[in-house]
Amino acid sequence: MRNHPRKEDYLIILSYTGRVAIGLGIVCVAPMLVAIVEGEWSVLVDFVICAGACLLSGAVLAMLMPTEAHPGWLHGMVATAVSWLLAMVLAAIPYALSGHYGSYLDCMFDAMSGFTTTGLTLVLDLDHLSMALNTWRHVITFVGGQGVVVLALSFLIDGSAGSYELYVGEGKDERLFPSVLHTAKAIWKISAAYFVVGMVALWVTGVAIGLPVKAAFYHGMWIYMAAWSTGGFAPMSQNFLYYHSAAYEMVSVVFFVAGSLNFALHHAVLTGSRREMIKNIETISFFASFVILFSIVAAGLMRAGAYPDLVAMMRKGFYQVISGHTTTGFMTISARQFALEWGDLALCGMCVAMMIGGSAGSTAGGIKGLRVGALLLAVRHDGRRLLLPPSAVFKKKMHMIEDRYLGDEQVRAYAIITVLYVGMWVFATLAGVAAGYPALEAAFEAASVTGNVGLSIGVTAPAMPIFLKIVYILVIWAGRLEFMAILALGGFIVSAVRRR
Amino acid sequence: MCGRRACALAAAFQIMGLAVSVGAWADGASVQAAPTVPVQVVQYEALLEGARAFDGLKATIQGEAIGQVMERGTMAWVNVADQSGAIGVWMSAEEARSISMLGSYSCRGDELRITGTFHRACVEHGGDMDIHAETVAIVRAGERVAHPFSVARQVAAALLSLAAAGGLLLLRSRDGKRRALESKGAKSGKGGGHGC
Amino acid sequence: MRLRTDRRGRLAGFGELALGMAVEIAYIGAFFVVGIVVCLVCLAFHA
Repeated sequence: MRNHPRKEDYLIILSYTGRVAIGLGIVCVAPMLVAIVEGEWSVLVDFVICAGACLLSGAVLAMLMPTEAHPGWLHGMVATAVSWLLAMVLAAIPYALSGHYGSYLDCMFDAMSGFTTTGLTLVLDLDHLSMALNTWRHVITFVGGQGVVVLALSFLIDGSAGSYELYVGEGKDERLFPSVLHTAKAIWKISAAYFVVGMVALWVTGVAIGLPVKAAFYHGMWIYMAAWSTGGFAPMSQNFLYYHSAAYEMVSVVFFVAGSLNFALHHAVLTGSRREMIKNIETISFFASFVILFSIVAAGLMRAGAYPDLVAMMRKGFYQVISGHTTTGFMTISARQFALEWGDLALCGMCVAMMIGGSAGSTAGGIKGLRVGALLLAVRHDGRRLLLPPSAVFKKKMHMIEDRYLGDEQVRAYAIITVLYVGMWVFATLAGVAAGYPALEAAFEAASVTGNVGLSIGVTAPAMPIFLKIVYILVIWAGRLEFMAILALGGFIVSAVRRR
Repeated sequence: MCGRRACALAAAFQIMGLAVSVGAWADGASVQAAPTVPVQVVQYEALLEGARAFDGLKATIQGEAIGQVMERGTMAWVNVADQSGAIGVWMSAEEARSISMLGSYSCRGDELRITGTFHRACVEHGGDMDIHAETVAIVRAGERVAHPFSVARQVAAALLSLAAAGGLLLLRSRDGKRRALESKGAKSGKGGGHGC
Repeated sequence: MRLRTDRRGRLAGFGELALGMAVEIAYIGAFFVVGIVVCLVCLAFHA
């Protein structure tokens, strides 16, 4: 990497950021259409303002691209980090104009929560939100999720599985765009297939549980977008408890677990390599960690006397664990019930589940099953090395779409990211405790924030201290970008201010 | 935060105690485990914070019917929201049909006063926190909510749209010029660039 | 319904997509099975 960024580097980054803002302006069309259909004319005006701001700022920034520009991988990384911040500021405009938020900071919190598919919210009076604004909340979650998948998979599908090792200072020499476009096409095809199935399933189930046909369509659309993106926003204040339906919950589980699976895995399984489903390191590690963690949570719930029977244990215990582990964040209980009824053992199990998270190359957050699985494999390999004679040779491999070598460099990279995640969780926990919340509640909320989950124990609320809102925004942002883009930005800033 | 919780719990126990006393006085009998005459409306937050204490007891809540009525055979779910939160109420479909307006963006829903049995983790409904209604009364009819236009916002929207359109046209022309330059450069055999 | 196959006899196109989705849903279904087993074991121990 160059020692000191040139003016051209700043302009390239700002120009990329502008393109993202233009994209966001185009996304405003979705809620505008809903506003027109529903006759929410004042909301339509709010979205015209938002779209105008996005398109204008995007056009101005995009025009900064130098005529003879040579954009590279690092420009893309830094632009990714910066554009998420700009998107947060712009997407907050309709929230602020709605009057449903206490401050612009609260609006930005919700915007960042949406883009990062977290799902924590500071909205006031959600039950009276306009259809258009509810559509916006869910659409930005959907778009944010797809965007992150493109970013993550551009490393994996590009053939360099070890690209997770690439940090500041180790720039790639190839253009990001061609592989991103190719990857995006594959992702959109998979998402389109699931969209059709998901929308039909949720719409039909919604009607079956008593929702009017139109409401069932809207709720189905919103819930699908939140489920597939493992976002966890729901259109009503009671979240999934609003529906009082085991059937609706079960259908949602199918789509949010599917959304938490690696898109490369989807591509393999849906194009004929069906055995990948049981050979893949991530599907194996996710299943194993779920069994262990749900056992811990169930034991904790029994000890706390939380739920009386099998059905309640499944609809509350199982649902929250799988929602947390996939980092979706749908809730079938009130936030305060975690603190009042679950007991410490179950909450600890939930914290670990949320931190581990879902699969790499998906919309899920957390440390990721790939890293956890790979680190456990590495422990196993080291164990074998200890037991075998020094001259013995054995294959250190893991299977992810194909057999890959699990060398020390890869393990080191996975371990570093894991340490960063845990460190960030500690930081967010300390911030919560400093704000006056009990330690376990602060730790639970911190795990939810770090893993981009969205389950809440009641800490996230409009009355939360301002500094904690800012901390959570930064943690959500960093966790979603898996530090890569943040470190790239950090390195860029350091190189900019450092003397030659 | 702990202070609020303690106050809510204290209020819940006070109400419970009052209900028990009134019930005993009315019956002229000794204190019963399950009071039958609730005397005061309980906020949802009090039920939530004191769920174990209130579990299985009768409670009266008052709030706005929101969202949609979900009929399930002869019964129905209606979610009722007060200032502190919302809870699902299980009532007869007939009672649910008497609700004329449900809260949404364009309406404030009927305000209901519901007396029924509170469940912390309802066995019949898969562990849901809910109220099985015994009496449902509409205390105030709902009404449509107007969302007036703001002239200032319309002007801002118009100006921003014009400015954005101008910006995008300018960007498009610049992109066209850059593409032309790049293809000229490619034809003359210049190599690709390197990242920083 | 006869599913399309390619020259090697493997399913292609829509059939492959549907089968693949079925496999994924079966994997997800396994979570429910495990969940029920874990709950039953816990309830049995607690009883």
